[in-house]
Amino acid sequence: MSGSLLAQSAVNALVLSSLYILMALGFALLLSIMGVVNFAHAVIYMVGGYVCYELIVTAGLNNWVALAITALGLGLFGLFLERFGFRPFFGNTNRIIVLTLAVIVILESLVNVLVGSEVRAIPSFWSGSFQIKGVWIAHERIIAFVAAAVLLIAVFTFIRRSRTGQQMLATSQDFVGATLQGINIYRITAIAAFIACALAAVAGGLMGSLMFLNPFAGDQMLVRAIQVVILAGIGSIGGVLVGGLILGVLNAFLPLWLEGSAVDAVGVAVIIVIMLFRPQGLFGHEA
Amino acid sequence: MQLDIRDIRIHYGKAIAVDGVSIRVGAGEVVAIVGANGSGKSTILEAISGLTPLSSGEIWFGEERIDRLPAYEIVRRGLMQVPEGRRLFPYLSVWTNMQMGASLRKDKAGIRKDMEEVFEHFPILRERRNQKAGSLSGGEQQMLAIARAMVGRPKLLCLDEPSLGLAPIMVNGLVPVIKDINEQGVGVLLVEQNVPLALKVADRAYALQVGKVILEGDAETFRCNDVVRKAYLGG
Amino acid sequence: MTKGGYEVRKSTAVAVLFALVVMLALGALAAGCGEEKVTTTTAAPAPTSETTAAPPATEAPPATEAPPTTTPAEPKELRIGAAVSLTGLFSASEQLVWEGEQIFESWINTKGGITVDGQQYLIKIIAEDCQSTAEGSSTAATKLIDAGCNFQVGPIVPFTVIASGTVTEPAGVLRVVLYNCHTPDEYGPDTPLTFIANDVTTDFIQPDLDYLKANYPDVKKLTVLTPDDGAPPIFMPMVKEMMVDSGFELLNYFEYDMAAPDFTPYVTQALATKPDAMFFINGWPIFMGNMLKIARQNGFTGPIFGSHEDPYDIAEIAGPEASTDFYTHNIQMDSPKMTPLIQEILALGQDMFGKQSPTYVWGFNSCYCLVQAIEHAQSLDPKVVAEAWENMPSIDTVYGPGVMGGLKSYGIKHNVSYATPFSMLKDGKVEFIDFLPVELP
Repeated sequence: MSGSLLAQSAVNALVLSSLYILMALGFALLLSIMGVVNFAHAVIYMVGGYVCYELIVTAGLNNWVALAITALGLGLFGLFLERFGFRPFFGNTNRIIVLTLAVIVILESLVNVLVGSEVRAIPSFWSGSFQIKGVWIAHERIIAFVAAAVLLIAVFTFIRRSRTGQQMLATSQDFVGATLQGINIYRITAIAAFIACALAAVAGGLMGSLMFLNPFAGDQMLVRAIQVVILAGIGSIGGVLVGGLILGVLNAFLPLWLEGSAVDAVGVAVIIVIMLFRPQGLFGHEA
Repeated sequence: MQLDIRDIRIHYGKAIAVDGVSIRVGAGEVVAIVGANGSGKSTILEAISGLTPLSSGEIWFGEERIDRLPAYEIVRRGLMQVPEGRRLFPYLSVWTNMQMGASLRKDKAGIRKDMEEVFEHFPILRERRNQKAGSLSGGEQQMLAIARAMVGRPKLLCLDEPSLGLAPIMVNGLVPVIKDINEQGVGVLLVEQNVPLALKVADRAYALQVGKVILEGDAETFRCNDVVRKAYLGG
Repeated sequence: MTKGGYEVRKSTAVAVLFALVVMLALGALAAGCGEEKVTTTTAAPAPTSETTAAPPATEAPPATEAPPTTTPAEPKELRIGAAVSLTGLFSASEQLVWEGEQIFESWINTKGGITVDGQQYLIKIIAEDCQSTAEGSSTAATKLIDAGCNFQVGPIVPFTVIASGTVTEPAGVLRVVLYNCHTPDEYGPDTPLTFIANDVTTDFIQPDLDYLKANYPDVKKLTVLTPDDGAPPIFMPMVKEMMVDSGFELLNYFEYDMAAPDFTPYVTQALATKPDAMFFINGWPIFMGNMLKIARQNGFTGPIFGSHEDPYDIAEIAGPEASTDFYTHNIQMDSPKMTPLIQEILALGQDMFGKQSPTYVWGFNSCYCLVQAIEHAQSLDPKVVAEAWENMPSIDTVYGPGVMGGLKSYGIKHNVSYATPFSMLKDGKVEFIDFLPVELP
């Protein structure tokens, strides 16, 4: 195994990890703040990819403008989902699960009917590549990594430093305690839903340019987001960083030694082994 | 009248938990609700704070009916609660927990000043201000819960079983704390199983039994009442 | 106590119900639009020069509901089942296959359908979703049999083909699968009612190698990337033999996970073997396009051969910069060298679905060959048709004249073999090269 192949995989692991973290962070936010297991999260990722594509290819917008509008648009959809979906059924896990499954079916079918037979990928954010010491790095991967990293830093700074962010953390640790401090939990859950869906949409746009669009791409991404959150530990928002990194490393390096879908099986096995030693996840119940 | 609870009923499913209770707390008054486990005391506090819906009856705070407001709106009106189980944010620092109490306040300087004042009352919290709330002892956590509410500058503070889980020496320490709060012009509604403690601080008290008020009056009335004496004051 | 005291209030519940209804309505509306688009265009007369005196395409009543006093002139309905993955990982391309099959339905019915034993039959193609899974495929086969389809087209991917065969073969249903990856369970003596109407996995290898030799004399070392669909261990020894016999060296082959989050690890490994040229054997355009892009981004400039996958879709995924020196056994849609039938199919696709796709031609061809076999057999009994089809001296395909083959290769003479179209991607554009002869012993 050559050094450049390993170096290449390391670069790749960083790119994948950053996108997984973008995805899983929103999932973890909604889970820890509202107690909502939002199965529809990855469908928003998928829709994000298609919306971004339409804005770039059909509407002729600049890639970055399109990505920003996509994030805003699906963030607003997140507000809608929170207001009319999650909030009325608050605390009723069964109903919320059914609701999120319904959202999956509706959005997947909608996209499948509208554009399902179109093979599509979002045009590159920056085509071409460069070489350092035998390692080729595509511009678009660097761009995806930087964009994801900047967003993550922004969101984490918001959560850790701003008053609203602190209130989000408080709400995630004790919901009733938070309401009794006068924290408007509706505002908190709405902001969380907005951030979650916007991040998923950005991940969808970036991944749709690195890979391709598929109305069912969300199914696999949902599994990965859940894996990251389990690794991180339910309730941990910071742990998502580490969980995402682990999954990215597994997905980038395991194919070097394993064939085909054995990668997923071994990836899950690694997660199970970690759970044996840390059943609460790596950072369970820590903020 | 600051808080006026008018003939409220609360059901849990088909079971009735609170059955036609009326309680009043005047401005600046300390009022205690005493009663055994399951008498409905905590349920009443939950209803006051907007956590549990009423089946019938009304709750008024000042000139406004509050029993249909969401919990945070009730806090906005100056009615805060130190809930049973304290409900601290275990993975946030003592400092941040106290900041959360001031969620509705915008005056940063004022908040800082009030936090300093509260630290005067609870010097141990100042020492531990960077520690996570979950790592404090039970007594310290109770202090933090009260301190957090104080930073919110409530007009009326509801305390739900503050003595629960505290060592006897700590329980006695609560008396001056509650009196201090009251001296700042804050009304206090104290729910307690520890009747001697409640009667030490309360101007008036209500005794609850299976969801109904069975006795109402000042501390003296309670001390003289046979039933209360036998049940709570050790004969 | 409800959490936070936020019990479901009447007004909010009503709002939620309303929102759900709106969402469902939107979904239904969208679904309705899609359906409507298909049916209305299907009903529209096809603008071909051969539509003289043709009956309307979709107005024929089902055979079973026809009154007993039907005159012989009244056409009956012949149902053909289409097993396609309309959802899941393979859906993007398989939906195009399904659209190609619908184009065929419209086309054949405009021509008056087929005649068997003096009776005119209009073709009704019914689709069932294979869901890109094995379970979905066997369920789809069962549902199609329930719907009265004794003839089925599809599916495509090996494990879906195997799953569907476990249902169709025992049921005596004749099936035209759209692809073959050489696993014995897919197609062989054990599947006497399974046919293939197009070139498959290994058919493309020898023409590719011959082309390489003639046009890239410096290329000696080859590396293969192929999906881990269970087939590589079976066809790779054959591929290796062909490569070695033609004077090439096979450096290695790598199997990729079709559901992989990223194909970079596979492509970088393949490139680490330092090949002169690469073969992407099997797989869908979405995978190949992405791997092509990654290969070019990683500095690989050699030629790449991509089985028969749609070059337009590959270019869409790979982007214009990467789409060069890529070869595939498929068509250039706007080339004048295409057969008149291919041009007609693409024009119909434009009318019916507002777009053109080489995959339409693929989907069309299976149905086209199947109905020729039925007419040749003059029977609707699948077993009779199978026997007659095997012995057809020649059969027409959309690509030109074809013959039956496969006895030596597969132990069963059920392959339609024809000169395969060969095109390349150059600077983001598709360029047709030629129809290359394929020998299928």
